[in-house]
Amino acid sequence: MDRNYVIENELVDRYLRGDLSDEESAAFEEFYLSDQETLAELELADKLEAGLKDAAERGRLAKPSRQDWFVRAVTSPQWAAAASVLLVLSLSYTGMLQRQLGSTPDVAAPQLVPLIATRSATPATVISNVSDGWVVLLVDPGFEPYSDYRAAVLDRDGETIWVAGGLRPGYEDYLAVGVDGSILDPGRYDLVVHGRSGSADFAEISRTAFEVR
Amino acid sequence: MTEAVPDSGDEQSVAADLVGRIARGDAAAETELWNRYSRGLLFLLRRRTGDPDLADDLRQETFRIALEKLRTGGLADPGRLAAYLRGIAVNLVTGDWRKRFRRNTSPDSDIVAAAGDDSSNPMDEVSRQQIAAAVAELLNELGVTRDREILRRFYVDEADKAQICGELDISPTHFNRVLFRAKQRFRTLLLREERIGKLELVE
Repeated sequence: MDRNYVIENELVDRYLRGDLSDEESAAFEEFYLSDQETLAELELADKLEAGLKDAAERGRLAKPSRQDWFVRAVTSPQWAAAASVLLVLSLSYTGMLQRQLGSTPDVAAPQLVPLIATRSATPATVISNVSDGWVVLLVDPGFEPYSDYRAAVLDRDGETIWVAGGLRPGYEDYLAVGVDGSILDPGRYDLVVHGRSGSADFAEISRTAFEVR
Repeated sequence: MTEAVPDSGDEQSVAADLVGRIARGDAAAETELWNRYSRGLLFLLRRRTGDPDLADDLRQETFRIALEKLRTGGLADPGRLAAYLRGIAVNLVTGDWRKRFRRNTSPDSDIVAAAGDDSSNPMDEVSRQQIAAAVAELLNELGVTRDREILRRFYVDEADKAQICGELDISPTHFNRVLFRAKQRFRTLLLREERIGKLELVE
């Protein structure tokens, strides 16, 4: 057992709920006895569960009211996905282009690509066949809520080749950044997301690498 | 005795090294043994007993038994030190429950006393207040009702992930992200509460 196995098999939450077999539980206990990272995660999840149960008992975690049906309807995946893609396409056409488009490409259905952040230097996300249409990069904006987001695509030399502003989290709380695939030559890129609240300056939230082949 | 545990190599080789050094009378190795495994053992024992004081007692007993054996070099597989410690702890819990069950069934028995008020430990009460404050802040910050619902159903109602995803029409990936982000934020808020608590103690 190693840390990756723990994460991939969601052992922390499953262990705390008693969902592991006796054998799995024993192996996991032997592992976390000496793995401080997993132990810290266990302690945190345990405290969160205890805190939420306590909050529920005190009436501070009420079930949603019937009026929330409207909110659910307009945040349903189908509605949100359609709205996000439309917003992305309309904003991206007003974004800054660093390269001249040869001819208007045939706009096929955009390729939706969730970007995965990793700790290693190797990009976890590889995109193929981008030259024919738009690529919509889906990125997690993080927990801190901002009033305004913008994103930039940088090439391997750190040069900005694409910018999109006025973004808002949409489908499943992702930010959707539409990029014309024809400007993405094979190579490594970074998607940098900035956020700001009110009139404050933009601050970098995340930087996620991806590769085009 | 609660020093930071150095991250020095894989578990089997670290364990074998500790076992060897303890058998040779290295006192520093006994301290390292405590530093490496005591927190994990306490967590395991707390979960199994539901009693923080009993868990602490059983942890002490676990180390006492283990050191007795390790000093005489009697561990067959030194690389399996964690499994050995876990085995002692689990047996102690089982033995303790059997002893309490056999003792008597009168209302004034030790079982009733042991199952008493968890908040009798003042440090646990402080911790509970800090957790409550951090959770309250977390819930305030959650702008999306659906995210609160995910947390409530998973942690309070103990519904399983597939059921929650089906009922709320969300993907497992999104479910995982909500939980991950909530835990990250909770960690930050809890650390802040703990820092405030320490400052108040100093004042």
